[in-house]
Amino acid sequence: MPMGHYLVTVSDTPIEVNTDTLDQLDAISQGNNSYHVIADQKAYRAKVLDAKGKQLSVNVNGNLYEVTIADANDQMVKAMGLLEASAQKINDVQAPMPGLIVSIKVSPGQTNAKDDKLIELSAMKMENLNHAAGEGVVKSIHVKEGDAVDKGQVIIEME
Amino acid sequence: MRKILVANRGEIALRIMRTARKMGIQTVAVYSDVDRHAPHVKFADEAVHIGPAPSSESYLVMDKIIQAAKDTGAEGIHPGYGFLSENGEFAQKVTRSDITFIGPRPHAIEVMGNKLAAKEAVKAYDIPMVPGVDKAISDVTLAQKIADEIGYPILIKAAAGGGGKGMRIVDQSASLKEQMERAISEAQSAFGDGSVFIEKYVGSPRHIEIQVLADTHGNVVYLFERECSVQRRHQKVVEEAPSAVLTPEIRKNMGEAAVRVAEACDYVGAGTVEFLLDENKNFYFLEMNTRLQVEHPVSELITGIDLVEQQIKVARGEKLSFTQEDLKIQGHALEIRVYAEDPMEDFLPSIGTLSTYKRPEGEGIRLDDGFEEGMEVPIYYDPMIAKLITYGASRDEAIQKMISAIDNYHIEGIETTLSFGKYVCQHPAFISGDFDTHFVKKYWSKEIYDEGLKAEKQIAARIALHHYLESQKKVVVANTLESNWKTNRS
Amino acid sequence: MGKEKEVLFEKLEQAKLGGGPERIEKQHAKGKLTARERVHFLMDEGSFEEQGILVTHRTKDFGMENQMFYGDGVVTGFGTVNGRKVCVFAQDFTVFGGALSETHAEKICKIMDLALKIGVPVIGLNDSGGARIQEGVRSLGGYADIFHRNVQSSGVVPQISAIMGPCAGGAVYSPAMTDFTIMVENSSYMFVTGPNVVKTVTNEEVTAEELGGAMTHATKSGVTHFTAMNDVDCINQIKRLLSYLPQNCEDITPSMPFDLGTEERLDLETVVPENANQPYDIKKVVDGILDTDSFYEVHKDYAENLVVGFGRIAGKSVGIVANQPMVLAGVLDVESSKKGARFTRFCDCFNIPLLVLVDVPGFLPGTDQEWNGIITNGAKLLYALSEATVPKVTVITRKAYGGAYDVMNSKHIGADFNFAWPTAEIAVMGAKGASEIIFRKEIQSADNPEAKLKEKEAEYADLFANPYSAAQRGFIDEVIEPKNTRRKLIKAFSILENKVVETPKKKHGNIPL
Repeated sequence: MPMGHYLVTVSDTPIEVNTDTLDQLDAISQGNNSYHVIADQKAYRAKVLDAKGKQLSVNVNGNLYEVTIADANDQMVKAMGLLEASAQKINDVQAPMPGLIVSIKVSPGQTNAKDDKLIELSAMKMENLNHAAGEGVVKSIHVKEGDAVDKGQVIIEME
Repeated sequence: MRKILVANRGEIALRIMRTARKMGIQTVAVYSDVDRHAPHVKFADEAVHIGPAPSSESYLVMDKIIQAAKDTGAEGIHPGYGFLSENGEFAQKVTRSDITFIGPRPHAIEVMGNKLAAKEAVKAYDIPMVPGVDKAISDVTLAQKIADEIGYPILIKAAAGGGGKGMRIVDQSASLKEQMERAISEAQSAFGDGSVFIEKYVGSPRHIEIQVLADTHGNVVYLFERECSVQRRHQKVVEEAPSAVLTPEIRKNMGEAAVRVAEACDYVGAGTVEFLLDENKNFYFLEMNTRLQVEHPVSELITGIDLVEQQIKVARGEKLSFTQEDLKIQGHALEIRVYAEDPMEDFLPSIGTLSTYKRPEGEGIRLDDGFEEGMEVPIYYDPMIAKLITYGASRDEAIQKMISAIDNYHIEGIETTLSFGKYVCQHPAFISGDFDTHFVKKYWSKEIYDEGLKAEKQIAARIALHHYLESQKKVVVANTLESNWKTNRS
Repeated sequence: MGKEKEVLFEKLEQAKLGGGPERIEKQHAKGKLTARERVHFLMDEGSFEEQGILVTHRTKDFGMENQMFYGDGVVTGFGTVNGRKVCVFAQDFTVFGGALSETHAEKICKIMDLALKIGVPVIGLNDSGGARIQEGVRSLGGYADIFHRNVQSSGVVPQISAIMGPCAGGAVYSPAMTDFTIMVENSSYMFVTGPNVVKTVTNEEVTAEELGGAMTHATKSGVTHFTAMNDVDCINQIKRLLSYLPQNCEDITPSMPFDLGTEERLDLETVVPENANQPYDIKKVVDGILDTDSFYEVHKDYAENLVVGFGRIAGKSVGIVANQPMVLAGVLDVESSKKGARFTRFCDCFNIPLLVLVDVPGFLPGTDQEWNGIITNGAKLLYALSEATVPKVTVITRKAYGGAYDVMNSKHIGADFNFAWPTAEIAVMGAKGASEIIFRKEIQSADNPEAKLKEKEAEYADLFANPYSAAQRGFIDEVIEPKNTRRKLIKAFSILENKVVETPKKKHGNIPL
């Protein structure tokens, strides 16, 4: 049995459980995932209703609890910050393809929100509207209307 | 009366219709836009659409309801509770349309509808009342004088108020002026009537009410008491019959007083007289409710009488088929109101869809509800989902059955007062019978509840981990998906 | 047996520590997980069986006999991922920097051999400094043994390579030959020659990240198909990718349960703008056709004028190849042709039906394209789509001009069903260009040539900028309303489930490489 320290979250309450203390638990299995537990001289009837890997539903004395188990690896990964999605930071706006700048929809110092229109580019007889990938503040605009640009050329610099 | 229109919705409409059907009477339901799929509509023999969701455009529109009764040929209208049940004007209109109003006469409704008028009416009938003034007061100096006479703390009440609204407790003379002014202006805006009166504030009061039943032949009986002291925001959550603290003598006195109150207004039908019981077991008349009450089932269970059936019979002009001597208390009944509220968040309404709704069943369990799984809890009406009632040979048995019924009552999608109900049933103060209307204030808080759950959570955590570790020991092999690999390549 | 068991346990304890606690700390400090931790998160709990945990190297040169580590820097074994059997190897950077030795390579080869015997995917978690120099030619041999097996397994079982650390020199060829590569941003890099050698030989100053980091390969070279934010994201993406693939080339992907409804998608009616010169996002069409949230894009940042990826229709895996009008007007060019061709051939290897969405005005003109072989590279896509024998269905949403019409899964090259939206324009070229040629004399001799051109352009557009010529000839099987596209495709792919096509016997074709 893996010796270990587990973080068990019971209906949003985090509880640390060590496998040593688990051995001390006075619980008898009654079959069918039911257990009779005596703790601090009180009796509890517990039943595991649903178990999908580390997510379980446990009923204790009539009350239902949702339980999530995190082992040492899970906790480590969380502590390393590997579970967070990175924020969408907007980078400098580059020309997606070679073309002609038709119009520029923002000005330096302007704050834009996600999906705001930034520049209009014409190429291959196609108009192309460039939308902001996230929030940002326009630092400076490197081109003017009528300019020809190459693919990858920085058009708008963001803060 | 062979056809009745039930001018109500939800659990009470369904409950009334069930009795009507039992008696072989046809039923007509009325419903608003959002109630088309409600159980009471599906149960009735006929159904009439009466308007958009807001009550003011549907269930409270007297003319629509009366028209519906006329169109369907209903001979009687049962108003249930709430809505138009205590609206004297409605009772008048119904009667004038040659339809029987299943309830008291308009006069009784009006008199008892106003607390001050009620007190005035019963004065001559030797009914103990809370020390105070039974006249509306607006003069603060006079109020001060009276308050000094009665002795603090006092209670300022709105004459036209109800359901616990419009009440203010004043502890000392210094705050009286300000509180009175506020109370008057609140009453004006809430009830359209700024009359307030003062009475002594009874400490540790228990709320005990007596069910009465009267026919048109002058017979009035009382069907014993109901204890309704567990309340939050002055609204009842747990009720039981009989009370754990009444002696037969007090019961008799209160019962007979209640009968006199009914006689004082020529009452006809089922009604409830509310009293306050102080720590010395003195009782004081509070008010009379001229309708069938939410918690009537507990009285039905201990007496074996179907109150709705009696209401209909009385409305038909029949004489009561039993006397006071015939009525006996048998066993003990307990009721919990299941509200769509979150007891952890100060009982704020919890709206949503009933993703899971499984009723508890068993002997001694009665569930009066008006919902089914998958239904949405509409925001337009009272947030009560159901009444869970248990009956046992003794009070302890009723309590145990209630706990077990709550455990088997599975509701998901909204928060309900079920967990609160269970907490009450397991609380020593409730079990011992030693509690009053301050129960919720004294004993209930999120922290207390969480503390109690802490131990359970610890157990849940350990059992879950134990179970998980055990299951990990089992050998795991991959599911064998159907594969052509071997077949094609051998 | 007490004492004997103790010996065993001691060895196993040591093996599990890899290069030791300090090196594990260093790995963590870089935001990287160890090989064992990665395997733990990848495999279903309790399903992993490690093979060869006590293998050590056999080198006696350079004092190597004094540095022995059980496992020799790689964790190999089998288990299940979401219930599906897989074979996996994970290089352990804490042991000799994950450097490959003869025995290290042997372990990897063994697990690849097993995969080939039983027909299961191979997942490689690469994190290695390269060849173990002390082993000399033996490590080169080790690499080649792996390469050969990569090729033997290619097209037989899916092979996925995750680059979760350095991967340099010869080592890069193995991932290059596997089916999909995924690189972890900021902590992995791939190149044949590192920045130091580059500087001495060509005098270019470049960082490892610029030269061969995840974003570089995702956008510039297309060497990697996916990028991940960190190790955990990488592993989750591998799991996601696997869910679209079958175990091997004889099997089909298990389908997800799905309840069919009306399957009408009203938002598709408004995707194509009124103005034919205005672009739209083809990914909106993709989302409007596939099961909700089932699109997993491959090569998202590379050759963005062609969109490829996996998706599901009514629970069954499909491969998508679609022109992207929002980028370069959706033209085909060298890079997009290569991207589409490889993806198509992967789907063909593994019985994944193909859905091709067409809005292409042609091939990108210019010396850059011509001198870089748009001819042979464009042919790659044509070849791949033509060669594929999996069910192939095409939907033309707007333009399909010239040769590009032929290339993008036209009926003539073997597509099973070809649908077109009413906005489709199937023609040899755009109306303007065509009119300039056909009506040249008329335009030149007109009083107002510009107006005449516009007139002729409108005439031509009326006649040819539509799907009906093609429909009249049966090149298009049905012109459909956009909102019904998904319904049509569900039925189309369903009927094509048991498609069998015979190709002339050959050792293998000669796709222009």
